[in-house]
Amino acid sequence: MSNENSEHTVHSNEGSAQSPAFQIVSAILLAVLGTTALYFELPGWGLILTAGLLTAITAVDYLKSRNNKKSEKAPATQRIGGLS
Amino acid sequence: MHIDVVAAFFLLGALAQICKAPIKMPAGLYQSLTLFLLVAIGLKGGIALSQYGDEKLLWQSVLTIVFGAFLPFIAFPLLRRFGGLSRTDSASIAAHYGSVSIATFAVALAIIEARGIEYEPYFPLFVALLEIPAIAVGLWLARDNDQALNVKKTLHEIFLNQGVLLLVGALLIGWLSGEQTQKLMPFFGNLFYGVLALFLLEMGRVSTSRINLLKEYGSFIASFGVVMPLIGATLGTLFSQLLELSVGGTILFATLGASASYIAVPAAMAVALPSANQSLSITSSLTITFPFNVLVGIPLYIALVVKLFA
Repeated sequence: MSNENSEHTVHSNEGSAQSPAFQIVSAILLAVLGTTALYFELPGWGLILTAGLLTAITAVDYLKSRNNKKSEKAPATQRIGGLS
Repeated sequence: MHIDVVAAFFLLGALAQICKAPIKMPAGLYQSLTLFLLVAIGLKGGIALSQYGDEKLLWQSVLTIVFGAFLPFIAFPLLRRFGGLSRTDSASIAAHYGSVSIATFAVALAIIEARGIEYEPYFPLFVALLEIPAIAVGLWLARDNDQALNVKKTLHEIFLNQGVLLLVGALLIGWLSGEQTQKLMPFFGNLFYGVLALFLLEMGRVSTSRINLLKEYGSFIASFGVVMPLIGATLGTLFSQLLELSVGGTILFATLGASASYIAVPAAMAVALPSANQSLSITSSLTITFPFNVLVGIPLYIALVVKLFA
């Protein structure tokens, strides 16, 4: 019953290793739905705000994984600041 | 922008957590509020069931079970294909999204009652029916796993977890006792909104306290947590037409389709699929989907259904 019962040893972070196509399509879909809802005088602001948040989270996630890839590819000398 | 009064308490809890304000509720009180909501919803549905039970209800119940079993089949390929998650994790999360959140249902119920929108009063029966099939489908989706399934323990968790037991138990008590149950209603009826507000205050705090986990799981789970409710709500609306539900019933069914369990399913999955990442599924259902439904989804489902069907 507890919400705090989430301690676990298995952590799969595979989601962020994938292409962000799903995230981008989702954000566009939410923005379109939100705008359409507003056009029909329905509460669509929440969807537009959520689309903005998703875009920001996806961008941060993408930049982080790109930086990680770059640092993996960089030659050893570069990684230790040319001290060799 | 209009925010419902109960949803406002959720925001207050979230804000308090963000500002690190010390409003943590004692664990015992949170448990008590959960018990109260389960019993109150069950009793209300039971009383209605004693007055409305007919043949139509039987096939509505069968279709509701089909709906609950169907949703994980939508969620599972999305998680596998686009999220690249393991079979076990995908099956576990799919089960969470096929099942329902009673708290989300309670919020939708409180809002439509406050607005005077009519709904089928025996609806808590559908809530109880939707709790279970997704767990069975989730276990089936994870089937080619090496883990041996502890059938006895799993069945115990599926049918005798606190959520199902209290909801079904109160439903039966209300159904069998009929009018006599009215004696309890000053307590379980009049206090419902106040208890829900306190419960949401704590939920706002708890779900915001887990937000840092999103950094760990990446943007896919955040996207899935808002897209899946919209798919579930759309399918719920379509199914409600097959069930010939009223406007209020359609809103509630869409809300149930959109909601994801964070009580009954995690307990069952912890036993049946111990290698599944529980933290990932609870982060998705509690930190993303629950707030999304309370703050964005439910007002939208209500407005859309009223516009389309009223």
